[in-house]
Amino acid sequence: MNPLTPLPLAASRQSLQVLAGCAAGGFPSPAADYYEPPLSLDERMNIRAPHVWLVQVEGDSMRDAGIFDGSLLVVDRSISPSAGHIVLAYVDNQPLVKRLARSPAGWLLESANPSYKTISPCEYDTIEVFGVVTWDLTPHAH
Amino acid sequence: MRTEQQPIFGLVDVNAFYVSCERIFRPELRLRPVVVLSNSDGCIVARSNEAKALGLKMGDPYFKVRAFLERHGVAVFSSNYTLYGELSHRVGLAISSLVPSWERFSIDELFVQLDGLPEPIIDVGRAIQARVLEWTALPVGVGIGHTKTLAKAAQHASKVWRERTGGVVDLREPVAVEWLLRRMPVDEVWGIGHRMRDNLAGDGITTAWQLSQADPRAMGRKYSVVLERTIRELQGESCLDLEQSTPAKQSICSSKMFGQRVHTLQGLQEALATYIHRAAEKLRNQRSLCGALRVGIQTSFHGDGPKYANAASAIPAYPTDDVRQLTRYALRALEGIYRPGYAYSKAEVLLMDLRQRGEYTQDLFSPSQPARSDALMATMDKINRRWGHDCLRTAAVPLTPDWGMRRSLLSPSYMTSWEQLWRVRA
Repeated sequence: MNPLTPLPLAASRQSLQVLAGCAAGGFPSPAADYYEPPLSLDERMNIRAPHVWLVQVEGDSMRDAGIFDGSLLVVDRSISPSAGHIVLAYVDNQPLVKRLARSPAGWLLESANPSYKTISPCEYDTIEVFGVVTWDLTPHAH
Repeated sequence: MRTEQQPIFGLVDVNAFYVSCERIFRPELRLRPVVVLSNSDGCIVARSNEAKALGLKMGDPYFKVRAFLERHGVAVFSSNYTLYGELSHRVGLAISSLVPSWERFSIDELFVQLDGLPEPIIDVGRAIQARVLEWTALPVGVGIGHTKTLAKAAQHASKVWRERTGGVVDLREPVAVEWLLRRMPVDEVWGIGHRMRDNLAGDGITTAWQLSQADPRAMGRKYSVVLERTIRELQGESCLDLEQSTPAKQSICSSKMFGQRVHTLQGLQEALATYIHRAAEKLRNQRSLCGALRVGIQTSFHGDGPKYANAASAIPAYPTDDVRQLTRYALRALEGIYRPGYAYSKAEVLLMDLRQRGEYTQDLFSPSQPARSDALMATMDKINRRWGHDCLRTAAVPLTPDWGMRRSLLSPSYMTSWEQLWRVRA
């Protein structure tokens, strides 16, 4: 028989599985190995975390800490507050941004502006720290 | 009984959810009675304990109680579903961080699967309570039981005896179950409504305990399979897995962990469209219209790999049960929150602000769903009942925006709008 004569394929009942989908061909991009996602401020400030909150400041009592009227603050509720932290606190059920300091009688609430006095424990009935300020954001040009 | 592996469910429920949300941003209102109104400010849909003590009832029409509210210094809010949706999403994420498997049952209730976690499981419940409070500033109660119905009963107990229980109740001991069910009116049982309560009263059944002693098969024949299942669940036989519940009245949720991770927008679109399809069907089944919806997507919280979770709300131009409208709004919301490069493990759709058709009067000028939509949806449901749930469904549709709604006592979108961020004094 002439070896070039094509032979018909025998019929078969065997069913073949076909894989759905497609495969990429060609030479893979060498850059793919070095892909780094773009910088994200969301990630850096972790604002998508369920314990992180954004607030806007009214007032200038924290001016010298870089927090101005209109600044945005990133506030984290998962950090335990301690002396030195700038916090958002409910003071007698009013939200207030101040720096925490310790005194024998309880928390002091310090401002960062000489025209504001420190609030001492005898001046409030209840204090509850809502969260610790982790970042402030202030626009400098529009 | 105790030695074999029985499932363990927890029900996490946010206390007075809408009111608690408003009070986060207005802490001075902790000392005042607060109510939240339905959309279009029709009637009361949420009350603080102080408002309950004044005798205010769910469903009281606003125009009737308005003078009374003013006289008693009650703080009144329009319902802010964008805000409640965002906080509800965060509650889910906080729970995700502690338990591997959970399911949203409504805007303020979630079931968690607690099997296989180390005893004492009540400590897991307390950990959930502590973390949700720490992260979201919302107080929750947790009920634990071998069935969803018993977990719900346990959560009821955690509310009634909040002082003594600290808001967490483990109802797995048979003596504890009997103690509670004997004290629980039958209409406090999950799924027992007013009509069924009256029927059961005719059979001499007024407490949850009496119901649990009834013969499930006989009661199933006399009333419904749902009642039969409820009785079995009260007896400790789990009939409802996660992702298998009767719909809640005030919100409907459809969510699922993906079988395998989804990486593309298209994949998420398909998933959400499927969930909307299902949720809209439930919506029409209970003859409700939806005034607000929320979609959420998230990656797994566990393991390595980049993590992301986000959610967005949409308010349809008019309350609707039209799956085409709902899908359109959901996909639009999804486009806003989708980020490439993540392995998504879960998507969910939450239909909120549900009203019964004709229950709340719309004002004359607000748009309502055209009759053509009603006819189409009725036909679609008929066809799907005949040929299977997914016979007729939407394809992905192009979107045209039309937002907006009037609510006069609405609090700001404290968490979702740059213009309306929570303002605090410094």
